[in-house]
Amino acid sequence: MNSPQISPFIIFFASIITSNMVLTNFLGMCSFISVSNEFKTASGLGKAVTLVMIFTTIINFAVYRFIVVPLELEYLRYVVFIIVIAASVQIIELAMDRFLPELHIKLGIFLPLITVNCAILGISLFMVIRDYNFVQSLLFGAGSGLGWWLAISTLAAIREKTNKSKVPQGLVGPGLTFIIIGLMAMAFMGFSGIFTIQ
Amino acid sequence: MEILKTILSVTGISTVLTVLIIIAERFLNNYGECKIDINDSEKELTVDGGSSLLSSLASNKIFIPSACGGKATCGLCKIKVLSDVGPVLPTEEPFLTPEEIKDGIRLSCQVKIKKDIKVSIPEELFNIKEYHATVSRISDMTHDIKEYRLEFDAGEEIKFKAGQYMQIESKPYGKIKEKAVRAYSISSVPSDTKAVELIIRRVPGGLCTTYMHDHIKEGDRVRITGPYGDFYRRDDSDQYVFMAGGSGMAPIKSIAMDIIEKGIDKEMFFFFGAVGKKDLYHTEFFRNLEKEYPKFKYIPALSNAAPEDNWEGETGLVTDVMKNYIDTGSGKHAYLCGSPGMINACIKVLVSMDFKEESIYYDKF
Amino acid sequence: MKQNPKMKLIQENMQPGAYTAHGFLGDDTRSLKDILRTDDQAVTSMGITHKDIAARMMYFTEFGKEAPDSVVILDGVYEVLVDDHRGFIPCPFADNAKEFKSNTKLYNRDQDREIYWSDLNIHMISEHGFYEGQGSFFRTDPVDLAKILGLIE
Repeated sequence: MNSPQISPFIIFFASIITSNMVLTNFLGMCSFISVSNEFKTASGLGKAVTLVMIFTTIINFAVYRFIVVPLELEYLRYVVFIIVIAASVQIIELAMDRFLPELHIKLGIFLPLITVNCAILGISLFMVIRDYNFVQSLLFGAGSGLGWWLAISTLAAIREKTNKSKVPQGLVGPGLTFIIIGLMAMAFMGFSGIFTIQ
Repeated sequence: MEILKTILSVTGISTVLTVLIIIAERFLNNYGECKIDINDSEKELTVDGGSSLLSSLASNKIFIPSACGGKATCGLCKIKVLSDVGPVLPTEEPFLTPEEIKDGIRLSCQVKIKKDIKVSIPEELFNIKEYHATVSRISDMTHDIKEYRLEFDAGEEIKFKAGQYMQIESKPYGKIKEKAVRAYSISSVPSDTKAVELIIRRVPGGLCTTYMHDHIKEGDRVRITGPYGDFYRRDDSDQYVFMAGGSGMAPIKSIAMDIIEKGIDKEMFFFFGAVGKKDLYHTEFFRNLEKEYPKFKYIPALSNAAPEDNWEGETGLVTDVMKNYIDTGSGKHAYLCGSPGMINACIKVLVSMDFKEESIYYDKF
Repeated sequence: MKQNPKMKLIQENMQPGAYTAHGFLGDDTRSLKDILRTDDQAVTSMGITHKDIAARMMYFTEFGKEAPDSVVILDGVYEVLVDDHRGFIPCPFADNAKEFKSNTKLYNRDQDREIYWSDLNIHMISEHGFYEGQGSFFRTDPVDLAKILGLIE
């Protein structure tokens, strides 16, 4: 295990700002675009995604380190990671149904769709490729989640405002959303160089 | 060897995770036991969490009115909740005013019990009881209306105000696997304490009316609760104007008989709207009532009498016929019972005749 | 495929015994989504909208409500009979809507065909494009409906 010599805190901040999962790496786009209509719902989904990211990072790290590698089953990492992610999302769904039922109904089909959110699989795979140790992985997962949350909340806030303005007919909905995301991505490019982890 | 290792490890991981999910579900879906504190510890109930406040109270023999059986369409199951039960649900919003929400009033059929809860229940609701009754008589009134006499078990008696309603629980039948609860007005008089009579009209595709018409025969047992409702006679009126159609005759019959029994000396007009002669029932009963008590007048109005009916009575809609007998509404009360469309039409006409809105009474479901 | 929790709730509301004796899906084995999609395609291919059909149904129902429980003739072609019952029926789509328990029977003399619908059907067609499942008591096929109502030839 040759973990890179980067401070976990740099990884944490970098994953929020300079290597933002959705604005820099373009992962996790589908629910990002679909659930960003209302700020409250978007923020709720952001929190759920963050939780799932932290949860799965910990478990995937343990599973990879203690089961996959010793048994030389590296080629199975995709299957194993997806199984863990699916189970975590199932548990989070149950918890949300119990403690936050209105959010559960509002998120509808997008809560179980977190399973196939590529950002989550992306965290686990990046963690493996870049050989992060436990603390680095944990803060990487937390930071990426927070970055995703930040991005979707900001997009929802902007969309709530643009929904009230006059938009050219052909751009209403996805068209304008893509343009906004592009502009947000360019804005975040302004942070590049502060931290570099990829 | 490779294949075995692969299969075992993937299966092993999946199994562990599945067990984790099952444990989580057990833990998260089980709310445990919760306490319901009623009227500042006047009564304390311990129930299994997870059900609605309405059904948890009902299983402890405290019955809250619910004409729609908990589907959030009648708005009658309001209860004052004194502890925090979460935000008002979208299903409750149409029935609660902002003042009611501030006061803590919620629809008990929509409030789920997840932890200890404190509520305030008005005393008169404790009068509502559960009865096990036997159907002693079913009489055909018209092609789609039947009158049922339900006699209580020995020792059970009911105290109700004429005009109130009972709630019947239908049992599973045919493709239907659950019970349903529906409300029906009492047509018998309060002095008849050992039974109630209900007039039930068949609704095409209706859950409870189909059950009562097709699956209940004399001698069967029925579970009913009651009495419920704010529709009953008020005292301060010079004259009573009753308007009804279809099965709406039931509470009017009860109120009229009650007035006569109690010797209250006021004029009563009962306008009953029907289409043809075949839709009239209890005609002889009301004609006899007119003879016995001259201050009571029964005026059936047929909107579309068939030629063979040889009808010589009033024709037209009941709202038009009423105008021929009543000139003004001041000092008078109006009691309406029928479909929501008919009630709305009557209210419009009554208000235009100077009946005060507070003096017009009807069941809002 | 995992069902949206709202669709699951709606499909449960549509079972016999939830709101009505027969339910809203009849013996249809398709999912609610498929039922809606097929009927939607049928309506679009006729060149009209769900709201057009609902408005035409409302036109007859309102006419019939002026003389409840009696047959009224409209345009010399349509015989309308509207009945009326106590109570309300909620919409199974969990949208807080509820309708009178009122049913309309329409007989088209020219075509010698009859069709039957409830106030709730008008709401469900207008707001949700739902004509009920195959074999359901109150199912109205969109093409039959449009023909009998005189919207298409």
